[in-house]
Amino acid sequence: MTAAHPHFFRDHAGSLIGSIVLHGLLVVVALWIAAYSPTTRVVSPAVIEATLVTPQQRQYVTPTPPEVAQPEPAPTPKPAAKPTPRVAPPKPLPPVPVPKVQPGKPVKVTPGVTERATPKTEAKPKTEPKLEPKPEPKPKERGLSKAEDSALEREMHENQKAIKSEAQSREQEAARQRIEAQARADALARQKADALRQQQAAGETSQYLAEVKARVEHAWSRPASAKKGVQCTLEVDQAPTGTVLQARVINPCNGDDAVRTSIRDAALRASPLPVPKNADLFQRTLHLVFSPDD
Amino acid sequence: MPIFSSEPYTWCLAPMINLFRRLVVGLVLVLGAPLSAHAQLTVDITKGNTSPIPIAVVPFGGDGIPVDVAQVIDGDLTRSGRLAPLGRSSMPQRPTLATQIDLPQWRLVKSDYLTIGRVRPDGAGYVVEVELHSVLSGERVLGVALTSTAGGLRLTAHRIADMIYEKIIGVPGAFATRIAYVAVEGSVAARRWRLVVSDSDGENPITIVDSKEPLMSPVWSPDGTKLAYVSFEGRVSSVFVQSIQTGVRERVSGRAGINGAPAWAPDGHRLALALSQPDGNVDVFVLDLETKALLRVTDDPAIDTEPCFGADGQSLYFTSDRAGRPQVYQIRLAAGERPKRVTFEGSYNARPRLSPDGKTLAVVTQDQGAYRIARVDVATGQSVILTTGRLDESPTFAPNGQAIIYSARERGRGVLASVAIDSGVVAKITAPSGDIRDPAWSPRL
Repeated sequence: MTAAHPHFFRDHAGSLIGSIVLHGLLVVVALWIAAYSPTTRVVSPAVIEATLVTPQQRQYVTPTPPEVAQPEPAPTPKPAAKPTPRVAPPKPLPPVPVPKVQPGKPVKVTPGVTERATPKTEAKPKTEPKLEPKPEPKPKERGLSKAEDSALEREMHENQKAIKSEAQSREQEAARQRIEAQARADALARQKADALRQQQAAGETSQYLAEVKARVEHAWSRPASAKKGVQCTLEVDQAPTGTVLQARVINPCNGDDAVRTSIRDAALRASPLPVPKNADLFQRTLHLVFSPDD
Repeated sequence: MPIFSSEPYTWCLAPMINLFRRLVVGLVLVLGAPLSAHAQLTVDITKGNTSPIPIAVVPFGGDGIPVDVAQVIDGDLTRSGRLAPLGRSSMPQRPTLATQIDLPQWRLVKSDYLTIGRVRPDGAGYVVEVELHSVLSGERVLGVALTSTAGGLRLTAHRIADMIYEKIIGVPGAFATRIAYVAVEGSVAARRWRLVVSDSDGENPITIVDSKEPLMSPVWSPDGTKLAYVSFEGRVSSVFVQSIQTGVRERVSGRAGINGAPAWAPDGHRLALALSQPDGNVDVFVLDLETKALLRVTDDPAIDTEPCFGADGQSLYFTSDRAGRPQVYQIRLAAGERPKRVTFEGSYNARPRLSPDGKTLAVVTQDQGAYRIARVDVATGQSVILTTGRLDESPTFAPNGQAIIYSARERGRGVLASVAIDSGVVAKITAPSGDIRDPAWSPRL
């Protein structure tokens, strides 16, 4: 049973890393897309974006291994020119995030952990498109209507644009923070639920194994030659009812004939073995390791 | 732009591939979770029970056989305290051939093992065929054929019991062995003491010494051909060594005072003794049977007695009241050695006898006002009381170390009893009349 914990952790770590990386990438992509239009001159918002991204990503990263830190270097060096070349690729990328979300769907199949993570990744693209259309049509409209206006007016418009983009970025930020908070809360809830489930499974398994142990130890007529240092493993096939169908001594076994016969007989005598309360824990084959401790 | 786009594209692609790989791995791991939760379930079995194992010894096939071989085997297994043979009246069937065995019926009566066999005449003697079947698995775990003379049928039965015992318990049985004991008969005025040698089940008793004075403390030589014992013939105590086959005997110690408590060295050439000094004080000595040289081992104003050799023949265990109450000590057979105390549990531990593996002492211990048999772990000093009698005495290990034979009182009579080390099951051997006491279990013969 003890082995199941690390497995679970590894499983979740794997999927967590996956979903976090996905989240991170989606956020970055969203930011790139969002930043693409205003990139023109507004350096300061870009910087704001950069500072925003990092804390967000860090918050994401916190529960995960340092591996996720790799995407970080991308947003951090943003200071000036770099953001633009990087924001450029998002155009070819957009088709990519879509397939990304698809792999996310199968993740739904997985237990609680990722189940809730996927809707969020889907939710983000939804918020992003909302933000995107706003900045784009506005500059276009204004550009058309005020094409013949004076330089002053143009400057004013530029300022307005800047203000609006700033407002937009603030809006984005708020939205993102809401999503982040939600994600964090969900992740926490998931972790709790998961831990509970694991604990329960562990408890059920250890109780089941303890019942099997007690029954087999009671049934084992221990021969005098089964001394400390003797170790033999018995492979037991059982029916779902616990009825022992077959018991085989697995080599190597350092016990004599009496030990081999006695342990096989112990399993047969113990039949039917206890069955787990949780049917998922049932296994057709059990290994009984006979190793007298005195 | 194309220049830029191609480069960032690869910049993005690498993490993409990486991400995809991780997703796949994560997916596999997550989907595999139910499988990994189903990783091989392993149960560690560290304890077992040593209660007697149910077995059935079906009467053997064959007509006009002078000995009920199955009954002899049945008795041996019962006395071992490790196997519990089924009574004949409870047997659902009486197969003599494997093909006749109806396993489900035997499973119903909860016999784990089934012994069947056949005895058929063969020239002047017999051939005894025996099979041991595991009722649980249906497997035949033993199948042998032994030839026997008519007079040797009981011994053949004991040998078969030894094989069955070894197959199930994992150590050879001690049934094809003999015991020596002292039988006391008659009224106070006409009391007789006899030194008797019998089969391990008490059958075939042969008196090798008959005396009007007390006989005591028989012990087998390591080769099983001789007995040393104490006789008070002539109203003084002497230690004799006597050949069982020829009856030839030798007084090896007849000093003034006490000559008692003989014990053989593992080499068979020396005898440890308790001898008294002119002042009456008793100490422990070692007598070389060939040179007659006498080595004083202890020299203490307390009573040092009941010696027995350590497994290497280079030390003695003995009883001493040097600390006020009798306890067991060990001393090396070298000049200037001081004895070290071995028993610490309880206020009285005496008459040590070493197990064949040299790891355990059987002793008489005082327990709740009664004298009982205990085994003491030599290494740890831990003591386990094995019997529940009022006056259990003279413990000696069976040659396979699995039982201790001792004398006990039952309804005012002296009887012999054996207690299985593992199960604590006690079996009695009673004589037709009179008291029997001071048992000694022979080595393997």
